[in-house]
Amino acid sequence: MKKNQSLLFLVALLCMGLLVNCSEDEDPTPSDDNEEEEVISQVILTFTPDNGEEAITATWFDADGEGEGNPTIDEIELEEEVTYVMTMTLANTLGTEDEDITAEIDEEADDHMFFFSFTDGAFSDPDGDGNVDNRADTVNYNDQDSNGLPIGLSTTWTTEHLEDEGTFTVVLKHQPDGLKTASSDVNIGSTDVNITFPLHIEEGDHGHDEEEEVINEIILTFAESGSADTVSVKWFDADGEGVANPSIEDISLKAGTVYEMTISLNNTLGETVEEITAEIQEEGAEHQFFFGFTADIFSDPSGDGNIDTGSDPLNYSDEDSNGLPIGLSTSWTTGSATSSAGIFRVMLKHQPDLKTSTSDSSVGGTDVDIEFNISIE
Amino acid sequence: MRLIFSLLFFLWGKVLLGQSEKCEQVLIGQIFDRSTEVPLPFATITILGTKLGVVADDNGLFQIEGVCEGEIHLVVRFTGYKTMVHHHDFHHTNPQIFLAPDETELESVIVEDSRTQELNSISLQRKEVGNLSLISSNVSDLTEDLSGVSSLKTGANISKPIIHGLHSNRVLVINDGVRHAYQVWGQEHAPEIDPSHVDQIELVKGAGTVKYGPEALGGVILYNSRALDFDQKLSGEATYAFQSNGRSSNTKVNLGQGTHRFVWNAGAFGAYQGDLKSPDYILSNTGKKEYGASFNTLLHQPLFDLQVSGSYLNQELGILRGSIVGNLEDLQRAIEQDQPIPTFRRTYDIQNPRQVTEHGLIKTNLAMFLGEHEFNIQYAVQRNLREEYDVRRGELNDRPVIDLMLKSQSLEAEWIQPKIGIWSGQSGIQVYTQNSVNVPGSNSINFVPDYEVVNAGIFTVQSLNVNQTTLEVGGRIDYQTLEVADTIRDVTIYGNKVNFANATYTIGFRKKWGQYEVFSNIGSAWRPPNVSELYSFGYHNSRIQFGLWRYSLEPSISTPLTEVFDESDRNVESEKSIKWVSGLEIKKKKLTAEFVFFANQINHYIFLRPFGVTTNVAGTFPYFIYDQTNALFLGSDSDIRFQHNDLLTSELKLSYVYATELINSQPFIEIPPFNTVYSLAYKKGNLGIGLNLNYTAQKQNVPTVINPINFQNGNAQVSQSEIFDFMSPPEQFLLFGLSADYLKNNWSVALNVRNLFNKNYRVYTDRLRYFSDAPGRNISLGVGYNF
Repeated sequence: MKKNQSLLFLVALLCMGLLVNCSEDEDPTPSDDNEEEEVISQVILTFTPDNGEEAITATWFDADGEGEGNPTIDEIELEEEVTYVMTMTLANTLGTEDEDITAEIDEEADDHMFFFSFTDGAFSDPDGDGNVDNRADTVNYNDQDSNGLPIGLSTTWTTEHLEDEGTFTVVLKHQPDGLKTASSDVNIGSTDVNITFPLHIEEGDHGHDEEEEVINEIILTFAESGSADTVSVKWFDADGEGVANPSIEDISLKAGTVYEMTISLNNTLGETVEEITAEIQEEGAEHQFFFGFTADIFSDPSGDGNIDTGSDPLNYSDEDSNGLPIGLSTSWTTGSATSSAGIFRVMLKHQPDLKTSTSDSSVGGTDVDIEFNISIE
Repeated sequence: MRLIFSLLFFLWGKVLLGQSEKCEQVLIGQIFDRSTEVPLPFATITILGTKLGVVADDNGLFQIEGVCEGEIHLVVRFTGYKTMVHHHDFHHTNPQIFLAPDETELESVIVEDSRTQELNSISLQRKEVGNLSLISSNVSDLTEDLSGVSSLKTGANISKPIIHGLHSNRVLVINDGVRHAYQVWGQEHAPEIDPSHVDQIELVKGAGTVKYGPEALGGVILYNSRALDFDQKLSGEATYAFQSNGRSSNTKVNLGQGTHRFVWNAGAFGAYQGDLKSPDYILSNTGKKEYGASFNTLLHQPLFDLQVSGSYLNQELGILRGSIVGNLEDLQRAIEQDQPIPTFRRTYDIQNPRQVTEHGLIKTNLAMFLGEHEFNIQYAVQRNLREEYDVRRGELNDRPVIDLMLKSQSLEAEWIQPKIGIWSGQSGIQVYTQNSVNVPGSNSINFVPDYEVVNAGIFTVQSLNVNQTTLEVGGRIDYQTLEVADTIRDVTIYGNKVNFANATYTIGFRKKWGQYEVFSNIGSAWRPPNVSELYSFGYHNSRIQFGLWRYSLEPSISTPLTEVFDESDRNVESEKSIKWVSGLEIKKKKLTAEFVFFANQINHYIFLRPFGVTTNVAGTFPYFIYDQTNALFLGSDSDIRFQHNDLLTSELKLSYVYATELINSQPFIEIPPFNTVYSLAYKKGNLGIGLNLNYTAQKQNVPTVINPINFQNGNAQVSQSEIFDFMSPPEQFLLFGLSADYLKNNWSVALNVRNLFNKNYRVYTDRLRYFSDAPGRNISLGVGYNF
């Protein structure tokens, strides 16, 4: 029993030691805030993801406050399909000592409210474009003032896929003297903060995880030289490796015409379309396209293409880091004769450590081997 | 609870008292020469600390009566041989003592039946690994020369046992007494077992399901570690072996020590192998890197044995680079060309495709001896990691295509009942769980979902032993659940839990007439469908395949991307088999022989059935669906040994399997062809020399051959009821081998030559037979030192 008691004592001592340490760590609070200004020169948004990864911050900073200089604004860089808790720190950095305004807003929460607007669809939750245009729209506030109304120093956001750059706007309204109600919108009261950040949502790790090497859509685009006309044909296998067969469009080109053909490859099986073209471009040194076609339907390249014999002519317009052709871009001149029942075959070989100036279509594994009907009119 | 304890103490006390009262125990055994393995007459056997002692008869047999203690120290002496002290207890019976001649480095050893092993012996075959482990670095190599066993290979590095035509999920692998938990569903997944700690292999050719649980349709292979010797000074061995083919180095070290009550041993091994070579070309990317370690400890008390053991293995296995093809035109080219493309210069580097695996096992076993009763409780934990790398685009090469972590636990309790007259038996309860998850980051659709298997089984085996006749009857009831969950492309989330229950039985007899012995055993076995058979989808190993719950035949075949079926759409029965094994054994002075015949019918046999042709981005392919049928396997193994004189022994082994699908009466693919091995061994003193001839016939009775190019050209149709292969089975071949070993003092040297004449050949049960010849001549030289 005695032993137990001394153990308890020890534990208590240890705890006390910790407590003392903790209080020592506390920041000293300034006692004289007489020179307090109402200027807010710095706003920091902190997005803390729920997946345990590091928090992301974005800072809006105006070095000269009300001066004419423009603020510097960070881009908000979030990951797709992640839920973040966003907290804000507002400060006045113009004085001799930085002044934290966040706590002040918190104290006067009954008079303040943040509103948010953002690119429509940037978030799956809240969906829509925010509550600046319409107070009733969803924003997930985590905090409340003494009247049970939202403040907005802490909010929750779940990102969605965002193809292009978007924007994220934070508005702080000062609504004193009972102006702040359950329906008071952004038009009520005076504006303390109205700042806009660029918003970028990148493909998250999770989405990346499901990336496959399956190619199920290939589009050939023939751009007519010296004209805006293009011919585009699609090879599409809706079920990828499933048993259903692909749908294949026919190629129809004008006789005696010069075309630049580009190939784009996609995987459309996932929730979002994955472009594989850029990947093949990047790894051009281990890929090469080969082509085969009904003999002499083109005047240049002549013959029947380089699938059967690697040295047969073909006009590659691109090259890899070793100066060898890739074939994502090729040029073609149709013959003067018309032809209605031709075949155009596209083959993509994967030749890691194997691609040389003489490696032909028999080298490496076959990633793509598809065939189109082609007619020259 | 308290009641149980008091009861235990009561029993315990009774046992102690009981034992000290009577002096009625009888010890029967036999003495052999370790180097020639022939019986050694007239050795002296005494019991330390007593006046008891006898001299063995002219067959080396001895019998000591009137032993009082439950535990004794046997001392065996004979002029010209090393004296042996053996700690013996009566929980083990029939010691066979192998005395080592004075001038050799061999240690005297003792082999005894544990009472546990007496049962289930009707169709059991045993093999000591001995010196073989010096020069083989693959557990499957060790089993290959048991008759009736062959190997299913994916190139030289990946190899798993085939018993009587069955493999993978239909063969149970028991490592160190524990069901080896690995991704057993994959034909290209070899059991991750470190060969260096394997000392003895046991093969159950009959249906071993009653004792060992589901999946033992073909049989059971047990890889046993070395039995621990008490009263042994700190000693050990170190070996190094070099193999010319692959220019590999293998090395291992073992240490052990035993006192009266406590024994331990520990070992470590490593192997480093470069590209192998067939007679005509380098087999690029067939290197291998392996290392592992194991330990084993045993605490022995009069009333219990407590054993704790563990092992760890890490492997990186290269797979022939030229076996990667994109479409059937590539495959056709690979079949036709003279050498695999690409073939690079010889190297030790391992590129993709490759497998990286890790396996860890910790086991603890408590055996309690309560009077005539023995109780065994065993708990084991296993962790198995498997990463498979494929040739992919750019940075994806650094990520495995398949990345699975399997955690497994098993708990077993066994009761070995006292022998009452002619009647003995054992019963037990076994529970195991396996939990497999796809490790994130592989950047591919999961080939199999995350899954969890829980199995609980209860069994009993009883046997009667009258006048050289043993009759054995056993039964088992199993309950198993399979739970799966997965997300396909972030879109489809599915999960399911399926239950299976089954009862199995075994019945058999063994009868001895003088030098002849016959046995016959009938047993049933079962296994539920595995995750791959239910859920696999799409391209895998040059095949497009669909699991039983990934396709629909109504109104016509479809393989929806975002829909997963379950038992309400298609009822999938467990495979159920009945296997009959019979044999004749002859044990004459010069001739020993064993002839085994078997018939195995499997209902609801799950197999890949060709169904049609589909076009995808890489071309046109036949596709396969998992389907069920009934199958029949028939065959026989023989093993005949003849001793010409004191120096020369011949051995002939033959094995043959015939397999047919019963619904459409057609053959299956990759059934081992007829094989016969003849070996001649010369042994004089410390020197052994051997010659062996291995003849493998071309497989007859095979599926139709359809050249892959014909699918690509649209010239071939798939017949939905006809199994086909892309290439005719490889031609017959005859391989010569040589071996020699020599012992001197503490040193041993072993030389082994495989494929002496560097012959080109391919193996029908090698999945890379389409792409390359098997490795050419291999000379291995091993040196061992005992200290």
